[in-house]
Amino acid sequence: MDSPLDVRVQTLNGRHAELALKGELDASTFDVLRERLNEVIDKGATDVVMDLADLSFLDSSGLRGLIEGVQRGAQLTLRNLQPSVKLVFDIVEIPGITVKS
Amino acid sequence: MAGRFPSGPRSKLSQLRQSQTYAARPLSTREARRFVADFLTEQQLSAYIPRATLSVSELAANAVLHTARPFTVSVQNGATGVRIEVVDSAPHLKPVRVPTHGTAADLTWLSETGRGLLIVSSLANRWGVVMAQNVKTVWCEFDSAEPATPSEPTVEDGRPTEPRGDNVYRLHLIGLPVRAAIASGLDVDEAIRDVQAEGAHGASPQLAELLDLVDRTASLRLAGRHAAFHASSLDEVQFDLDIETSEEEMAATAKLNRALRARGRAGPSDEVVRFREWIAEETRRQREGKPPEPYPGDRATVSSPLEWLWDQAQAGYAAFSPDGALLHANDLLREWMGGDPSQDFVDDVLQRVAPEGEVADVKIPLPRHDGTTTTALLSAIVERDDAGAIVAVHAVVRPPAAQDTDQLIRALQQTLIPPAPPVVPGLDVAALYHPAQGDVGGDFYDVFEVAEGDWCAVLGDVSGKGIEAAIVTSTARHAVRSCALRERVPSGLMRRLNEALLEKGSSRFCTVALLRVQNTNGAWVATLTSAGHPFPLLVRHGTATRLGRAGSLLGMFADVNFHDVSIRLAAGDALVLYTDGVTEARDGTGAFYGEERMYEAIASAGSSARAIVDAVLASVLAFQEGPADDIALVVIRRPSL
Repeated sequence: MDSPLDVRVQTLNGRHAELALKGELDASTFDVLRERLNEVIDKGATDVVMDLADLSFLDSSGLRGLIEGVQRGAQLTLRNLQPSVKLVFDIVEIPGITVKS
Repeated sequence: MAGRFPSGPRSKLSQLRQSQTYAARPLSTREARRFVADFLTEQQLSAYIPRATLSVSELAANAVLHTARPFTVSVQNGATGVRIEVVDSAPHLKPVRVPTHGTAADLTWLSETGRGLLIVSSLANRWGVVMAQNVKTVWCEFDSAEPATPSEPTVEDGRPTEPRGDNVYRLHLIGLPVRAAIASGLDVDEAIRDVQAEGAHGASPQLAELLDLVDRTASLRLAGRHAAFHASSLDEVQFDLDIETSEEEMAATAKLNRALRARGRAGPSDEVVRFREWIAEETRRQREGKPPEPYPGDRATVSSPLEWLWDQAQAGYAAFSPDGALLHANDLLREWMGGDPSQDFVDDVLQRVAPEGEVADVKIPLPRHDGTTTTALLSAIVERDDAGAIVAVHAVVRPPAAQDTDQLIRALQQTLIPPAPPVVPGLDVAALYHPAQGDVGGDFYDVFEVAEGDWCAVLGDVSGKGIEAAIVTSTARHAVRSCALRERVPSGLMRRLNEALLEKGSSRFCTVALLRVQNTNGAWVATLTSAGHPFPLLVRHGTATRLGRAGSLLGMFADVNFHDVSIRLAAGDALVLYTDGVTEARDGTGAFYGEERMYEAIASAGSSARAIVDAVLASVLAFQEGPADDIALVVIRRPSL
């Protein structure tokens, strides 16, 4: 069975970090994201770009992982959203999270 | 696998429905999505998948987060679209975090739940919550494969998208309470659903008018609902609504509310009534040119959605602090007791819950408002903070009226099984029906002779519980006997039984295992057919193996398929028919009893049919904790030489 969520740190350069997410982000996997996000924030990243090209699902429980990153002071930019993930951001807006289509 | 979901009027031939029960763990949300996606793919409804899987994920996550109990997901391919239901046993809930009054925890609960429900309400064409005695059902429906309102402009600025006639005006509603607004919306949703369900059965002129009112007021309702959920997703407990409407629309809304109220539903809570009355009054004031005024009332009363849910429940609910001070009592309990629960009652509950921290369905005396005392069923649990200190005790009291139905339930149960234990000459037969406590269910069995040396054993499970399910169950058991008069081949008998059930027109479906045993010249031949039922087991030399081939559910479709499997019974062979109440029994952690444990119980049992039945029941009862399903077992054994 494929891993439910895989988070890879692509680059970490001072305040700038790039993460690539693969799999599904929900109640069962948001811990994985939280851990990785905390890691890069602890190392000083405040501007985090996330590539969601391989993320096939996201729900409001998964959003929690993103929101906690914002609450710790990071600005998040999401890019390459699949339509099923974009659906969520069409409905919910979170201050501190920017969605690039 | 017959699911447990509330019944509703629906035409069954054009629809298909599947249910699956999940343990309360985060991974279940993923499994529930797969289940819904697989079903929709199979039904060639893939276009619904993004909206449906996201919605079921949200509803399942809420069930996992807030009840810590198993929950059941149902998905239905209906005549007009897809319907999803998530059912959990809310009134027995183990509160992960139950809000009391205006605490920070309330806000987290509200914002997380609000964000999820905002998503569901945006994706679905309709959704709602139904609280029944033992279960909470959250449902949503999708009319077409296109998103209902991808990003409805009314969410952002309250401006409706369609022209509204000549008398258009703006309303500025300030400081609306989020909880009352959501409660009001859900109340209307539920009433509308009742109306639509009736409409599906041929609309009368009054129904047509009501449905028209529903349509004409939809965008106004949507605007209020979205604003409320949007606010709750941002941790707000109050919100402002700037809305453009018309005389016609406001009049239609008032007319709809009156009509829905007149239909004899339980009606909105005091909080919702106050909310609606204030909106009507504020609208009138603003129409007279007066400046907007904020919603009255202190902020502490506008949070705690869980208390609101309890207020809707058909059960008494009270929360109090460990020293016995009352925190909350719902209207129903206050009605029974003629006001706040007495100190004696509170002390009684505290004493009972103290040893274990939790009690389930224990009988307690309930002092009534008229000075008499009745017996009620109490479930209670203590809520602890992170340090383990008790912060509150939550008590749920099932209606005393339920006692009256107990007798009816017992009487109905008598019709689900034969009046005397079955005796088959030359074979060793034992059977058992163990009903779920305090409820009447859908399991049945029968063993009867169709000709000399030719016997039929049947065991089945009708979906759902309660008196209506029991009536269908009783019908099914008797239908088997009458069908067997004309058709003895199990697959043919099953086909006739399906026709008989379809003719009855119930919305419930049924799974059945059918076994024919024939004695020809001293040899016993068994022929088995399964209709969507767990396969019967053959026990030979102490080892159990499954026997049979999959067949259609009964009572759902005209087009069905069944397969007969025949074996010759050797001396000492036993056949075991059972219902899923055995394998789907759960322990305290939510784990299933499963087939392996049943095999082990059978392997270690004595050889007689009675010994097998007793061993399986004892093993299930020892394993099982919490709410239980019916259990039925039939064992037919050819004695050793």
